[in-house]
Amino acid sequence: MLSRVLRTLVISTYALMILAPVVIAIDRLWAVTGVAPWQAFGLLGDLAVADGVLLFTCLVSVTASLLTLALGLPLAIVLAKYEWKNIALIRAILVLPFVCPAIVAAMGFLVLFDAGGPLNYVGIDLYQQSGIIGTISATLGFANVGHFIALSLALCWFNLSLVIRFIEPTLANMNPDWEDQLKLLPQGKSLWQRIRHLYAPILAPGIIASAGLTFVFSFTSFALVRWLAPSADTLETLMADYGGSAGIYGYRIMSSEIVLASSMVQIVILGSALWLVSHMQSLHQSRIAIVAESFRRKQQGKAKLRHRAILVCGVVFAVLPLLLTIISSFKMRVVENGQVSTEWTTQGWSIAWRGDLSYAGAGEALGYSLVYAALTLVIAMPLGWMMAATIHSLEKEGKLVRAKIVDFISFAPLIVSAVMAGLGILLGIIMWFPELFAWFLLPVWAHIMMVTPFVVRVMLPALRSMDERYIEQAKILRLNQFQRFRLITLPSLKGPVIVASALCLAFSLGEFGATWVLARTGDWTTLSVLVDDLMSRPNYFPGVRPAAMASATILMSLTLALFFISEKFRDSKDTGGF
Amino acid sequence: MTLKISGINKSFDGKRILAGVSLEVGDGEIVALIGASGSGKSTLLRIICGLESADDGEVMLAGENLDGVPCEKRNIGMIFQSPILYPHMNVARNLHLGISGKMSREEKDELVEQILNDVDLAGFQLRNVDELSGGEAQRVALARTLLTKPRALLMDEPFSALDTELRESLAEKTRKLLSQLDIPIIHVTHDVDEAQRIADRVVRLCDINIL
Repeated sequence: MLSRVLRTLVISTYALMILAPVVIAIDRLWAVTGVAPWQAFGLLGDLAVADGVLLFTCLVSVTASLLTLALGLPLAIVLAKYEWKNIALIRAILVLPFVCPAIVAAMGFLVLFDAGGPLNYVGIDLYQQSGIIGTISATLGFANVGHFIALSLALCWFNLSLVIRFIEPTLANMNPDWEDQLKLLPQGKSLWQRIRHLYAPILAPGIIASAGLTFVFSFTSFALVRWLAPSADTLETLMADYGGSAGIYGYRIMSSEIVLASSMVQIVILGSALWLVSHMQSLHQSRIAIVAESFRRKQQGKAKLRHRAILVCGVVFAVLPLLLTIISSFKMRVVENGQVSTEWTTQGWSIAWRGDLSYAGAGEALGYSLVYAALTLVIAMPLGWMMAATIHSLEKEGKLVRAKIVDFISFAPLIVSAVMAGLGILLGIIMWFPELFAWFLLPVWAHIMMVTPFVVRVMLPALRSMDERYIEQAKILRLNQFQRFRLITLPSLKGPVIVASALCLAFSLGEFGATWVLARTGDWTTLSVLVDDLMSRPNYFPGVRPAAMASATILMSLTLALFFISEKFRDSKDTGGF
Repeated sequence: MTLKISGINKSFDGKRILAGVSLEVGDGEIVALIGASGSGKSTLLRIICGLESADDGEVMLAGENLDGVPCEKRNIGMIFQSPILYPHMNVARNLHLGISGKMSREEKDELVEQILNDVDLAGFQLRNVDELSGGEAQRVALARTLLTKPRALLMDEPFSALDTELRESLAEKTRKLLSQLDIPIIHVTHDVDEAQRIADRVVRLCDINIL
């Protein structure tokens, strides 16, 4: 168990690294605007540019959460209940979008929805909003319904894995005798009664937790909103747009007001959502313990045609945007004699690599991305592990309220979102250390902020499920603390450590919001910023899109390789959600 | 090297588990501790080896008061009801964990070979622990504990998960092995026959009782 001193040190370090930048930034915005943070909520309604932004953000997040449940639950059910060949591979494909960098997803969906894309081909025009989408838009009086649908679908794609990760293992390990017994009882005759008395109590916490997390990730989505709903703003994009001129005394005070108001509203809404998620996750863990005690995975026979159809649709939905990104990297627009055609070429890759259309080439961006990811891993992994150990240690000692508070603190970076993390560093830390303003390692700080909560989320369930008797036996065998860690704890947690490390690297490689905010102050371009940079160029140059897609493909390949490595080490009963 | 326990009290969540328990076990003596489920037998062993702390009372070994001495520094061996073998290590590596002091790999392997012979598991070095039967796993756990050269040995119903025949033969072998040790041994069981077969003295731990 961690000593009290070590515990305090861990929590202080976490608070200092993760929370301090945001607290200092808010303090600065307060000083610049003269508006106290608790009075800032009203500002959002007063500022014309923020009109409707909160409503849109909430609407799209709720829609994405419901859509994710609607698509994710049938997938989780068929995956859990029936026999599938290569189930590990199918599961890996279905949950793959979650580690895919948001900017890559944005590119994939852009191709899917854009003119000449597969959806456009079948008459659904989400981008220009003609045809049936235009009719829906006119009927509802909702100006950009196409963009709204596109964004909701992309957010659903991104978070589908959360529903599958939470629900599928729990359902698969549920003893079928429970349902059989219930069928013989008066209160379990109908399917609805069985759902009410058996499935809902067991699965509800997982369902609510996954929907809550989807809401949080949708609420703070940046790259997807930027590229798929260019006509609309969410709180996150609004903060990013105005963040560059915020926090400066006497200069465009409105920017500071927007950032302060947006961040405060975001903190309250996301804080409430994550509190609910945290509570539901611990309820979910207790349900898993009940299920795991009674049974081990056993499917209920072969899948029927309709089950196969559901799974095939899910797999196609998961891989289609990624495939389209790869394909688009080899397609270039050619204009000859006023005629527009497409040719297959590797020119996009050459343009991306050499940096012909961007400030940096893909090679240089890859270098920055890898350095940032490696440094993030070195700091975030031990920090997250220690935070998880602290929470676990408090739980074991029966200090449940304190454990819950520390657990909630560990979620904090998700409450402030990536853009706010970047702004926090920019406005907060630079105030104290202005010489760091052009330090190329600055984004690492933001990456650590965004990645560490995931390390905690992976390591905490692993620590909770580790057999305590192993450590007790090691003590009796007179192994000292270091020996116990090296010989028992580390090998026992090898799987979760590899999973957490791979996620750390993958999320850092794909991090966009905070890096985008910080990269504006320097010339450190990561792959995700490069993709955005290339796509922002005038489409007049035919090489722009294939070069962006090529950069996105490099980024995607790296994160997917890391993902498949981590999947090899993942426990099939893993229900941590990430 | 007498093991002396005096006036041990222990409560969990306000419920008293042990009340003023005292016991003395001499060098080379095997004491069987019997009692009903929930009478605190396992808790007493965990207090003696330092995995739990007592609310009151003291544990003395060879005249040394063990109060405040962490588990890993007490050098008291304990065998649990289900053998705790590490699944990421084979039999030999599990046994290496019991060897302390600087020693070459060859010397360690020699000790492992010797102790495996003693527990009738010769040639089991490279076996994975999940390939072992319940009886074999328990003998590996016993071998590992013996390798630590403990100053006292505690056994918490080590044969309870085995079938009757195996339990009897293992109890017999264990008795032979333990009789060569000159240390105090407490063997917890709820089987009176087993207690009489193994122990020099049988002690009953009542629900709340002073021995």
